[in-house]
Amino acid sequence: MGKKLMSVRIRNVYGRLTKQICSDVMILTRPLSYLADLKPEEGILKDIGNIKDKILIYPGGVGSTVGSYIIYGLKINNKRPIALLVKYIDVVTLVGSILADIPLFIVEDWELITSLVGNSLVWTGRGCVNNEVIQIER
Amino acid sequence: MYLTKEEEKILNGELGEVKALALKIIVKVGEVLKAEKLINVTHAHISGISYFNIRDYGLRFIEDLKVKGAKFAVYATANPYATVTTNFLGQTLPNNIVNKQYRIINALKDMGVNVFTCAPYYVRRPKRGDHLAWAESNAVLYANSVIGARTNREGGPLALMSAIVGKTYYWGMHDDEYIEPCMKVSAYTPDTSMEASAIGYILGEKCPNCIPLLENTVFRNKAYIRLFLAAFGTTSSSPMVILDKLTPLNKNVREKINKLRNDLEKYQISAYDVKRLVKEYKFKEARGKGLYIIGCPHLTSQEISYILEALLSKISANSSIRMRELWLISMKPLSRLGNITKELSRFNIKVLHGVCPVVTKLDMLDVDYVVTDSFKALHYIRKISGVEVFIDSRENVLRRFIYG
Repeated sequence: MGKKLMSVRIRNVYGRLTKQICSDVMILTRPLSYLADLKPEEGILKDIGNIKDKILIYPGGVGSTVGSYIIYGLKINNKRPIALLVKYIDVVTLVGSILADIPLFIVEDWELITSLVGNSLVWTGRGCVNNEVIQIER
Repeated sequence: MYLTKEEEKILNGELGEVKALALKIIVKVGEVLKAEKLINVTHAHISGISYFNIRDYGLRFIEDLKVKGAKFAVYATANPYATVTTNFLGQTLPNNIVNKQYRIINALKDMGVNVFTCAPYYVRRPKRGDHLAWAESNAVLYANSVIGARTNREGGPLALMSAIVGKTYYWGMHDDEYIEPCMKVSAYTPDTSMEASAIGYILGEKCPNCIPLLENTVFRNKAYIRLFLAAFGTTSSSPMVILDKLTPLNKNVREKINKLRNDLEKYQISAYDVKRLVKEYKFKEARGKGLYIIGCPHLTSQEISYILEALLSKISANSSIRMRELWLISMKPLSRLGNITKELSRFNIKVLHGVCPVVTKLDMLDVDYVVTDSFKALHYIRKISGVEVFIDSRENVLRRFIYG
């Protein structure tokens, strides 16, 4: 990647990546209500887009506790993102990531992430993630 | 994590494959959260029951457990299911969906679910200090904030695992250390339970993952508190709201809060904030078939009686109620209703139990618009069913239903 990179440290919570993976990065500035926002059959976040094989960064889960099943549904439908990177851990997200076997991380410096996104609700770009750090092309 | 000999036996499969699987998942969650041990629970409440939400993969997950011989080790209740037991103005859900919903219900009944409701605290009221594994946000909030029992906000499948082994991880709400407010809030005193719901919705957005301390807000009765908490749980993942002078707290926690109180960040929810939110969703012109819903969260029999009394005093023999139906959703079957059910159905009024329109795809029942007093219902119905939802006070929902 020839462009300027922003590196943000992350802490592994569940499931490890076997190697560094580079892919599309999607950053959301608002928490996700999995039941309300996510269609597991298509791997689509309503009004936002596809999350399959993307590195998904967002504050965390809110709303219905059915959310764990919805995340599990991503696995069954083969629509899993590469990893979930969150600001805070909630049990619904954690159980979902365990059942769906999606690596889950905490972003150590959330301010850095929001500085990249500014006031928008969604930011998309490219980046590479391993078990310690995410590097995002700015 | 420390495990007792009995827990190790379960984990090693000595008490069967299903119990081993269930405990493995609980232990994994506990390890990630750095829980020091497991604890016994007295009541598990399972969410993730609607076929519309969990689809074939959820059905398979639950049926697999049943086939493997799972039986619940503790008292268990579950959330309500999609509205397969009724119709809307004659329209029913497709047979294949109804059948799959019944397979989920039957599998859970076989494993030991006693009642399907989102208000399990009225079915078996926990004692103060009881440890629970509950996975319905409004129920979790009620248990922690009003009863003084202790439960985390479990994910649906995790509560199912806890029902199988009767245990959960000792972390979060089970440990007094965890109970600490992140902000103090003073909110306008709501005039209606719908306004209480609006306050919950606004407050949840303000603190998506921490416990607020609500000072100086007076809720007229339990219905107000329940609508407030249900809406809070829609926009927040916090398992508790500390309601000053109401939430039962141990002495050490109370002292900790009093020490922190002066330094907490202050947040105010004004009458203007509430009215502005309500205005956004208030009744506008509606066309087509309307579903009027009261019962999110499920109503007590007392509330149902009160509503029916109000309704029947306003309805006359020549009331013309067309193209709309009213659903009052109760937390349990009401046997006393028997003789008036027929009269109610003449006016398109149904008293239902066990079901939840919020987890039903109402567009499949040809519902064109919904009117309700609950912001939780509003939030999810708009997102899940994609139909227009209007908010109004309980009184006005009834009035609009009768007079159009």
